[in-house]
Amino acid sequence: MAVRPIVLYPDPVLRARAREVERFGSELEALARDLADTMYDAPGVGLAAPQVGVSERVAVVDVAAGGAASELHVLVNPRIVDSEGRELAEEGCLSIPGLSEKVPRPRRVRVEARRPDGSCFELDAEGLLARALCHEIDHLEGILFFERVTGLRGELARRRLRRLPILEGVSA
Amino acid sequence: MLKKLFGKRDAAGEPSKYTTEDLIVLERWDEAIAVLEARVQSNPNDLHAHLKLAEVYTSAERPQKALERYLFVAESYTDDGFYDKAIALLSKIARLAPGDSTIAGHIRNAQQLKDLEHLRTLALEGLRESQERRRQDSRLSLTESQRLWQALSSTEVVRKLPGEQLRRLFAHSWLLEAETGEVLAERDSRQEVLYLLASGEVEALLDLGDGRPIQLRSFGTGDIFGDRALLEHQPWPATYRACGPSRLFRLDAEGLAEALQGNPDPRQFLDALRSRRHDHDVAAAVRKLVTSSA
Repeated sequence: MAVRPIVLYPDPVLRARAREVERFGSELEALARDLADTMYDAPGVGLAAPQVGVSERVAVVDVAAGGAASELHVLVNPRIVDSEGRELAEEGCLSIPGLSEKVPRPRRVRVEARRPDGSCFELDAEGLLARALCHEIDHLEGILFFERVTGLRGELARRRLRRLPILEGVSA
Repeated sequence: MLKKLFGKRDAAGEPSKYTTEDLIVLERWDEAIAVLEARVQSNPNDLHAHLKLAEVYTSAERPQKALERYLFVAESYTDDGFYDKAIALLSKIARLAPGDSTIAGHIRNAQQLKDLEHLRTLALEGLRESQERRRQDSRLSLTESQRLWQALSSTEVVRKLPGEQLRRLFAHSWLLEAETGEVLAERDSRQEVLYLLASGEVEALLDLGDGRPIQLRSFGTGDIFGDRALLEHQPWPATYRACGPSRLFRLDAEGLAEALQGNPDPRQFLDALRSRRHDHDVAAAVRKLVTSSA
């Protein structure tokens, strides 16, 4: 088991568009295992490689993390190919502890991705799993969840973000 | 612990690694301003960046700079025809700088342009209705309609008539083209029509019998003549002739009746048509000349 330190906002690695993975195999499998271990340790329901400082398009999701029927999804180079509906629900992020906001996301998504061995698969998801997939895929684009909150609620979210302890010493 | 985590971007020498969004969250105003200023320099049409810059200047308590940026965006909205967005933004700026009287002028300007745009829409709708109603063979293209509107938009009749009245005027008129020298109305004829000159030039002439007609006056774009004949059932005071290729809207008694049917304010419509009373001036000039030559 290798739990890696989670990178916190506003580390620039969280804002970079992660690189496509081109080499599959044991190294990638090790990274995926570390990501899963780190996610379960946190605990959280998803983690993207940039959150451990690795700017590659890899993420893990397990919305039943900690429960008996946990189901880990490891996604390499994932992309949303279809989405449907819209719903608003509370979200947080392991890289921004202390901030949670209601974020609009699709109700259902279909994701295409590869496994660490390079094989392709499709995943149909709805509800919390769909939300977690969108959140992690956003990470791979350098997008953070509070940016999905717009208007006055977005402005209030940014104000709350400014007051978080993680920004002590970084803010002006 | 935090220092250790942020150690690699702690140095002030690496501010550019943060996104503008993050610099704003971090309240690092000077760095955010530098990034956004560079962005608007490289792409002056990036209105989003201008707006963001205005917001940052406001947060950084540099209201004059914020005002400049907001005004730039508001003017761009106005130029692009987004009048409501311009007015909303200008109203917001007015609250930021209550002492600045120029903002009220910008709001008035945007409102006037918005009103004119509303008029244009209704006028073009009237033109289209007219063409459909009369089944005119040569339909105006959109460009030609726009050109007609451009010519008429600053004239008195457009300024006087609200949009709905303007639509009625155009919808119940007949657009015709007159060639150079074409006579539109003979002196003393009882042709009950009124003309609105859209382009070209028309002259009012009096022939005292010596074969050398006297020009009493000429008419240009936006001028109305024939109001005396149509609205007062008087004979035409002189002969009206096109001096060059001209376009005119012709309103006859039937068209007038249709334009007045269900009209919310018929008096307003009629007053606008006879406001300048050109025909009365022509009739007075004719009386004077005829009397002096007798």
